[in-house]
Amino acid sequence: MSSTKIFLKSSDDKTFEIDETAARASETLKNIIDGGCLDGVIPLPNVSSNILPKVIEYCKKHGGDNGSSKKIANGGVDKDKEILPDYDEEEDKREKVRVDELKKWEEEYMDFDQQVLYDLMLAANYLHIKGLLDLTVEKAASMIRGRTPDQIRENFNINSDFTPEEEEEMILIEDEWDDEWAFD
Amino acid sequence: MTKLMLSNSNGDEVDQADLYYCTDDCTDHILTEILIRLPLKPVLRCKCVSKRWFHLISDPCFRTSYVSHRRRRRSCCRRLIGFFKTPTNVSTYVCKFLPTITSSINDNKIEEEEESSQQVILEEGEDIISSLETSQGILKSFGYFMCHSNGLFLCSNINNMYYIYNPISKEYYQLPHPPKKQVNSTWKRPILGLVVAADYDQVCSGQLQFRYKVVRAEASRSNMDTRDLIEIETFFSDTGKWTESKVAVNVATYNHFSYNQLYARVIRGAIHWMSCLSIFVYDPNSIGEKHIEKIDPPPGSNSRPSIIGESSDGLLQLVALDKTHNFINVWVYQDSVNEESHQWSLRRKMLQVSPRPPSIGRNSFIPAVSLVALHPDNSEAVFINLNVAASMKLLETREEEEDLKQLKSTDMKAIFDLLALTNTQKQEVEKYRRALLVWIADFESQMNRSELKMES
Repeated sequence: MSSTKIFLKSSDDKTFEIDETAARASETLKNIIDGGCLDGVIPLPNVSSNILPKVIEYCKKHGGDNGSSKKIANGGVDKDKEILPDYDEEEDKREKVRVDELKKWEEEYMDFDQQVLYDLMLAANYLHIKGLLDLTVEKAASMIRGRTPDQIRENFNINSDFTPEEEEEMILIEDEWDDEWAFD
Repeated sequence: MTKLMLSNSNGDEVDQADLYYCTDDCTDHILTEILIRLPLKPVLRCKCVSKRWFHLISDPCFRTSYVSHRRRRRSCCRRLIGFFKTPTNVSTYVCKFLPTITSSINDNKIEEEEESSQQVILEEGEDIISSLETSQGILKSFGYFMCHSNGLFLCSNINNMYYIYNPISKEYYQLPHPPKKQVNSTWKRPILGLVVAADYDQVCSGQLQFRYKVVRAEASRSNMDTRDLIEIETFFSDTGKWTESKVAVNVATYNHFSYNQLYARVIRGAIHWMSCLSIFVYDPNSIGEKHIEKIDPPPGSNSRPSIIGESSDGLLQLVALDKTHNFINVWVYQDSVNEESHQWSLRRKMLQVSPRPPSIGRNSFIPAVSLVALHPDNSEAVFINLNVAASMKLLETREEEEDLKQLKSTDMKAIFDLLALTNTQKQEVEKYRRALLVWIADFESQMNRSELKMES
């Protein structure tokens, strides 16, 4: 089943080809494939032909090797595994190269404008591609980090719908919010 | 920009594809995903962006997602590693949370510190702070922070390369390979300790000549014949060499030593390795045959979470919550009446007034308060972390019973008052000149947490 081809149709009726293994990076596509409703072409009315190739590019890179991408995405650690695994210097080096290479790829891949970022987030969300969603959302978060509400509005083209009085009030109570946020 | 990105949910520009499914849900979901990745303060500030953002962030569902996301990320935990003094300004203390090997050993990447997730505060401490900020990057290249003594860090990477790092001068020194460089995979990760002889005169005169010893102890799990020996390698900065030795221990000590996670603290020049059950004392400076002393925690005390340090009269001091979590007990380890052995004696008991009772979380018992550290200059004061507001406070302990009573009263509030570093509260900070407050929005020691879980 390694090289079964899947066809995806974008919202503007263009058809793209993707390997089944790659397509499985998307939960949504995986369910469609596993559900056996594969009827030649899968229509994706939410994804335009501008974005679909970008999504396919990601899937190709990450399809099949959920392992390594997952590792990075979670940044997670299994608490039970406190003991060092058997250590293999060569394996460690290879792993490092792999991670470096992936990072570099991601950097290049993520080089696009805000419009694409927005569409890609929507597509990743719709297709349930967790890695891609993490990647895009993280980028969006970095655009908010360290910015004032004014800058955020400007950056994301949002109009403040608070009245000036309301806004003043917001600033005044800002400090009090902290206390609401007990981490229980 | 042609389209309103993350615009109002009832925004006029709707993607054509949105006919298919609900935009509101989708973009709210994405916006949530974005915002939960931000530190707490910026998130709260984001409430001002628009009504939609305000409602989203105010929603209890968002809060739940935010907290659980933080929890997941916190698997790469930070630990209070200590207080540092500048040679020129002894009243400056900095405490700092750094990624430690405990939880990040399997993790290739240490999460970037977030701007407001931790703050280090004290007057005239700016230079140290920035120095520590940048040292974070350097530490990453060294591997992991292992332990510290007198302001020096011992760092180690997965290859068992060791570095001594001075976060203030940013100097570092790479230790030669220890004799047992090839760690047998059946061996536990070596247990480390660093003892630095303090010589502040030298430090002040600009000669950063620290003299130190690095201790690396290993207890083999596989070799049944040697269950009474712990192998110790010691590095001397004077000679620049490692030496090997063996310390005879009993089986109980051996087992504890090899199976538990140990954290090193240096008290009176001796390394105190602390596990959730016991304290092991090893003094690399002692003359004659070296030994490892095992000290069990005081009876009837809630052994965890507890902190150890040196009391004002030079004794080993342990501060622990009692089983009810209502009292903080201060114990000292001193000669017993017949002077044949040491034992714990309760020096004082403080009522710990917490704004709210401990909560039972889904996975664990979360105490309303956790102990963080002793004040470096005043062993009568202890830093506590009130989990309620995710902030840390300094609790000054009182010797007199009368004072204890006072603490019960509303005066307590003054002590617990948040000394956050907002401009309005600068005077307050001035008032508590010696108090260090650390704003730790996402701190909750993973260590304490997991150990509490073990207990229950």
